[in-house]
Amino acid sequence: MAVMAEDLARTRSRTTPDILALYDEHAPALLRFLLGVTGRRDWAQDITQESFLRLIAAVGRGETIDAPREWLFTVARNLLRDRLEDRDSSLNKRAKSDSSVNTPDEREADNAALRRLMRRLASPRELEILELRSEGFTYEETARILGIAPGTVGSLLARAIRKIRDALKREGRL
Amino acid sequence: MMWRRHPEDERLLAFLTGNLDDLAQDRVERHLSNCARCRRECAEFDNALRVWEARRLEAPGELLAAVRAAIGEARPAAASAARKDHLAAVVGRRLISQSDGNELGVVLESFLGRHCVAAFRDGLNPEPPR
Repeated sequence: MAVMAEDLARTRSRTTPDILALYDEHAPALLRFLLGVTGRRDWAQDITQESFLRLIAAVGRGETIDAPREWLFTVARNLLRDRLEDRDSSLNKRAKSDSSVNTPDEREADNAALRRLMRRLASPRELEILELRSEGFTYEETARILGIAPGTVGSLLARAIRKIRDALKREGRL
Repeated sequence: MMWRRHPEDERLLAFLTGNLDDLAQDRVERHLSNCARCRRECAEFDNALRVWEARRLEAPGELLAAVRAAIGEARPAAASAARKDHLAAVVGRRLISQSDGNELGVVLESFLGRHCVAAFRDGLNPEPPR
């Protein structure tokens, strides 16, 4: 039983990191990322909340999380992917009877014209890479978060930046 | 060593964003010093990156506050549930590791099933981490 008491003490000590301090440190970036990729405040809010609740649960289970920022973005991105898949699946079902399938995204979109344009032109993966780049993640970190090869990060970033460059050229701003 | 061909866009962007190793960074730099076409290309990419990042969104304060409050409320329950799960797993592993082949082992297997007991014995957690 003494060993179990030690286990209990160890478990308690693993739950001590201040989740709210981690929240204050990382949540703004996570929200920016989710808003940037989806343009939806409701999704950004839900996924940020769920990501931190999973962090609390992981710490409670005794998991060691060495890089909480990367961990949170990975969890959030997986939650986002699930939502996008669910949405795409339901949109496919509705597509034949409903022609305004993009309205929710457009309605929730921010006012920046370039961002709206990029949501139309870029793939979700390219947008994710642009946003992660804006948050300062390296190719290696981005690759781990998205579960792809670092070389692919470079290719997709190049493709996305070319789209931005071409859009700026069309507007005569480059 | 210089490239005979121009570096591809991916390499120029990796250069701009600091994602090349020192040697490759140095090679791109030397190429740029001798190639007006790549300097122009690089400047365009740099501008595109800057324009994009200048439009970086701000995290809305009211959204941050709402999520923070929700997490603050849910934290004790979530932490407690996870701690209980973890402790149950720790206790289960210990009981099972000490009961291999004896009567307690038979009883545990009848409650938990052979697969679950074997998973614990092998040090595996039947619950996925996330």
